[in-house]
Amino acid sequence: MDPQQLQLFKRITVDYFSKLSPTDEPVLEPPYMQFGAPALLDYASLVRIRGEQDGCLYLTSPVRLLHRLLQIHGETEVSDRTLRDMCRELSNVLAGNASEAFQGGWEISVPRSLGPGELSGLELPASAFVMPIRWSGATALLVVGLEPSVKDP
Amino acid sequence: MSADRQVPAAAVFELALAVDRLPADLRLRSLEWGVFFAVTGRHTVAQIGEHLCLRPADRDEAFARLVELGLLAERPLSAGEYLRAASTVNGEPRTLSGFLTAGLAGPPFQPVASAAPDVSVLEPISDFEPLPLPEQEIVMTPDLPIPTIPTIHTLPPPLSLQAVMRFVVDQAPDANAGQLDVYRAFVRLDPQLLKRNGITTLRFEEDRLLTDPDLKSALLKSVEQVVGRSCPPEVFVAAR
Repeated sequence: MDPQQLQLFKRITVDYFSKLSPTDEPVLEPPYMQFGAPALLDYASLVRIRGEQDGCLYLTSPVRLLHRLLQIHGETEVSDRTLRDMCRELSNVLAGNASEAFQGGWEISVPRSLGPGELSGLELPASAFVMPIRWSGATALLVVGLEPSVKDP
Repeated sequence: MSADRQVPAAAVFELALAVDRLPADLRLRSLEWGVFFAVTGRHTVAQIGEHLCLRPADRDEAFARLVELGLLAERPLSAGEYLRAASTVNGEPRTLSGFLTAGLAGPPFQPVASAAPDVSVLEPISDFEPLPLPEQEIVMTPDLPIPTIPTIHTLPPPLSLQAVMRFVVDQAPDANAGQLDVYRAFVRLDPQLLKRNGITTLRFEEDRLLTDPDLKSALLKSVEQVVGRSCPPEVFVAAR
């Protein structure tokens, strides 16, 4: 994974939130690594990637952040159905961003949207690079999870 | 020091709690910290005591307190490991007949010097005896060829995770690329090894001291594969 590709992916994902609410600037908090248990909040929008290394990219969000997105989109109903709709919308955004950032040599899967109850069965790489995005009083996690390369000794 | 605080000299202890999980309010005497940081899970109480030049009573007191506080746990040993461990104890019987008559490690809660009935195989104990040279380490009679274990003076110092991460970041053109390289180095590590050392999350500016030889070795190897250079000696705390 090229650092420039990752930077682009991060930037255009943050830009998505900037454009939604110009008065509410998203803040990228310092990244960290997480091992073992995956970094997951209430909902997750995920794409698998295959290339020089296999892995996944996902954005996991708390209900509060999805609720705010619903408000911005003019949706007054906050229910499991509308939260899942919003998560699906984020999945499409994420897949588009991944396709734009990781061109050449990378295969991007169709996006998946997962809600409460579906996250526990999700198989994710054991080591993750986590980039928290604070926006509108809530924090989503943009995560890159790479599997150890098969070429590794 | 009380006599009931003696610890078997051939026992091998390991950290029960990773360094980064120590309670913030934990207070130990300097001697106890010394013992804590010398514990590797691969060296005996006797070796560590000799390495730190401790009197057996002080050594045992420190080990006993660390065990009481839940900071150390004794490692169960195989018969072979135990024989190797027992061979590091000064004054321990060094012959098979000695082992059979005195017990493999001698009575654990009696002074070792007076424990074995076969005094011809014992060596005098000096509390402040310096660590023997490698070729003097294991003196054995031919009837019990006990293999040597690594001597305490090969104990590597703790590895600073922050120093390792800084080294990796410094090799990259910018901080973002460096952080990705750090992540690449960690992706190659066995997650169980990280978990065993209490590492579930790690911030790039964070420091933790690694004492687990397996994790240190795996991380240094992985970093070398990722950045194409070995970590400098400065990543070890004692070398700073």
